[in-house]
Amino acid sequence: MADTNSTNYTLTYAAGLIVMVALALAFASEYLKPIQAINIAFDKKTKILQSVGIIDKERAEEIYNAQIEELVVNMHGDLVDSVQAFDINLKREAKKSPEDRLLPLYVFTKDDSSQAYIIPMRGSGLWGPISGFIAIDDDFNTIYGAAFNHDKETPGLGAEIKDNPWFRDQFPGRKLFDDEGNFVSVSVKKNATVDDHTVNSVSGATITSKGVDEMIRIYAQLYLSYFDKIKIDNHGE
Amino acid sequence: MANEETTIQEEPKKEPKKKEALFSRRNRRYLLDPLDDDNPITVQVLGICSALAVTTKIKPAFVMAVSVVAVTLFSNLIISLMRKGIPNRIRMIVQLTVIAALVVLVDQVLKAYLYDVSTQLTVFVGLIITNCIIMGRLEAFAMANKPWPSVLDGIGNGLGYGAILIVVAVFRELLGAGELLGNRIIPLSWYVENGGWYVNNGLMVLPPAAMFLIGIYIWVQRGFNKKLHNIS
Repeated sequence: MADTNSTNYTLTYAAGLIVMVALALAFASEYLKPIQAINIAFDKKTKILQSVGIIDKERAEEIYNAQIEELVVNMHGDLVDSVQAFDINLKREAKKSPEDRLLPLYVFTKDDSSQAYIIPMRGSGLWGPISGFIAIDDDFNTIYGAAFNHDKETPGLGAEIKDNPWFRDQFPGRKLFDDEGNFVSVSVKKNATVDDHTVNSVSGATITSKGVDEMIRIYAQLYLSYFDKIKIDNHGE
Repeated sequence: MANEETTIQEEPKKEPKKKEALFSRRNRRYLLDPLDDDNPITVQVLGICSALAVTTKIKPAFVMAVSVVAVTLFSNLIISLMRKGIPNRIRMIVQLTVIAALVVLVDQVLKAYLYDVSTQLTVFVGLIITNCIIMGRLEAFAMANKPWPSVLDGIGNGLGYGAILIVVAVFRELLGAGELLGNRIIPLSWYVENGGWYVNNGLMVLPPAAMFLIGIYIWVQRGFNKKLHNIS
């Protein structure tokens, strides 16, 4: 065998190893991607349902198909027909100019046939992106429910936004507008007393909580013009 | 995680005798020692970080254990096969590359076939890379031994790690949530909310509980295992 301590051998060995490892991982990733995509899509559906208080995973697909309608709107509040809401990548949309931006919206029909409007959101936590869905009642003010997700927040701290029902259970009943009709969103604050516009943050996860706060503020605002249009339509009936 | 010293097990001197049986006495020891006498967590005190983090429920603890067994097994095997060709100066980097590649594979497989569990384990799968047990076994064992003993040593250490995880998780899930594997064990009617007398132990769902449980385990283990009486 060649001299394992020579510089040439070391360099060749390192290069060879890296190429082999890269090939193996690339192959595995390509092979497993379609299976992972199915899981991710199903997870998204369960999260959407969670935001309206449905946690039955076995019937998730069925309930989703029966009670959720997917819409796409733009910043002016007009409907866009050319794309599927479910396939829209929020990260990509956030980079577009406001004019071209597509806004997916999920409409949930409750058992009493009134509706809740589910807004998908995306923001940043401490270690990576966080996302979520916030459902708004058909008064376009009261929050009906919320669900959150994250990529790599710390279990027990930032991950509590997803794992601990206590956090998302604070949202139902909060309001987006104050009494004068100004948009104030819902703030996530430390040691807060829960009132119409405030919920408590997760202790030990200040940055993740701040991410949730910003995410709700930014994304809820995007849909206001669409909500205004429906309000007028409903009034006209 | 402390950088504990691990005794280097040298390859036995080549004897011209007949081939060793697959499960000879010595090979069995490679497999079984880490379960008790030389347990990576309770005796070598390695891999504590993840043992605290993933043991609130049995299911993630089990998946973590299986993942670590897979990584220790294959990393030990691969490094043992490569041991004569690895340039000494980049030895650690080569080991780390092999471990990292295996961990990424495990992560991808979990995302494809056990998505729920992978979202619970999140960062901890990636952190298997930094689990001292794996690197420790490569340096202490696989670099100096033939593939088959290395495989046994890998499985043994993975299982030794996993066994502690499961034991800790059983106590934490039972006392912290009143359940085992998600099945209710302590009847709901016992709880204070329902007019009973029982409350879940809130400490058990927090990481410090694992520290106490591992401490108690070490105490009990040293009480019973005479081989551990006189080590520091």
